[in-house]
Amino acid sequence: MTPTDNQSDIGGLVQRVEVLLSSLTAVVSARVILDQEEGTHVHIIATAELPVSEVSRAVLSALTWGLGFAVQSNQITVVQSRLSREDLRSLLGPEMADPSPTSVAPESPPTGPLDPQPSVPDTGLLEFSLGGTQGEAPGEPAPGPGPLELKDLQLEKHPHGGFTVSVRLADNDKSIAVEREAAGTEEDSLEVPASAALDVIQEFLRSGRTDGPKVGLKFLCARRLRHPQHDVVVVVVEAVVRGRQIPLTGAASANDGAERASILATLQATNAFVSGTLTANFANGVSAE
Amino acid sequence: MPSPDDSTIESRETSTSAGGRPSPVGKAPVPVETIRLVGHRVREVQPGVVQVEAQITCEGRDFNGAASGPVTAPDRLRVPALATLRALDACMQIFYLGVSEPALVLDNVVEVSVGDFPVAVVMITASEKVNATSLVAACPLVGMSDLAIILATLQATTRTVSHWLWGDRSPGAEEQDRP
Repeated sequence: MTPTDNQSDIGGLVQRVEVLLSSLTAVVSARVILDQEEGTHVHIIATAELPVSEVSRAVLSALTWGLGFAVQSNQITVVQSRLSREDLRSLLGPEMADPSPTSVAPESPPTGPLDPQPSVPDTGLLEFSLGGTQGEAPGEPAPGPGPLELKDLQLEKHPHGGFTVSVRLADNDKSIAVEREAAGTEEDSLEVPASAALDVIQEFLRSGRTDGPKVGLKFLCARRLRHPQHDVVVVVVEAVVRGRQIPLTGAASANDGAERASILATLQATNAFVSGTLTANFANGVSAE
Repeated sequence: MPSPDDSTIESRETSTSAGGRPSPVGKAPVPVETIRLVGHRVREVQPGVVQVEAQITCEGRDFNGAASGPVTAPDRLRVPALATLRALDACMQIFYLGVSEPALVLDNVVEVSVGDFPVAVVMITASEKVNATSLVAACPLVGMSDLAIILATLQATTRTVSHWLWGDRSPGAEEQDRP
């Protein structure tokens, strides 16, 4: 089922996925089929610029990392043509035969600083924001709630070893806190704060949107990485959406403590899900309070 | 190994338009004061050498960064990160109005196992005036994922770069506890 109603959440989502996939190197057309019985399937028409396996890997990566979808490689069909991109676009329809004037054939090598044309195709990934806002146009209403932020972290070290950690996360005016006891090992200093943060995030999600798919978050593991110039905590969280397991990662500098870094890395890993859910809730006119 | 003085690395502004431009998908125009990924391309320019180009957009202008390096790990991981930093550098050359010379230095991109998961960690040092800040981000590795590393590099740097360029007007400029 390809989207026919851009107003629907699923239609919009499918369109975003298709726009994202169509932007990948060698991909000329992408269609996403969401069927509750048959499952998800992604059909790709590609030029011969890259081997099929590379196109398939790129599609997997874009879906997994870019949009948080977990699909199996056997759910992706890549059909490769020896025709050029332009010929394929002409064949596939008038819309595709008239690309944006800023786009350039991917065969064009980079030509130097005076080249007036972008050598990377303009793919329309304009909603693929990394700037921290929701992509609103100037003059439009301010966005709803954004990602959660760490409001407060209290660590109380016990004389006999171990510690109590209290984590408070906030979403605008609403905040939720939890307190956890930890044994005091290095593993605990990573896992307990991350798990505590995840409990709070789950609580925010439970009080958020009710019309979308249920999102479950599970702490998987954390690791401290001591590099000569960077002391980093990396956290892996598993999101479960409609039975699909999606690994999410986050990283943060441990300069201000491993516990704080563990929480920030957890927030970074889960930002996409939490922000999307709470923002949708706001847009639907349902108070998060 | 790709390095900042690698002659195969380039960055440039590729197009301009005033005040943002319409989205090809018919949605809202590009908002000002954000840095966004437009696209990327990966090519094997000669046997054993891969080139990655990343294109970002900022205030209606597009900026390209390109880098090339070996197709074999571990240096392969650095190529997309370096291309992204070069695009950001081109953007800063246009928009940075301060007197110092801000810099983003790629320290490393490493693949580590966190539990059973292969993860790429991008490590960058951002410096402006006398301040140096450690910036990091991570992404799951599914095969060789240039897009994932480009996104992780942008995730690590966009807040800092936005703060350099727009100060308190930047999104999340004062929200250090909001990853």
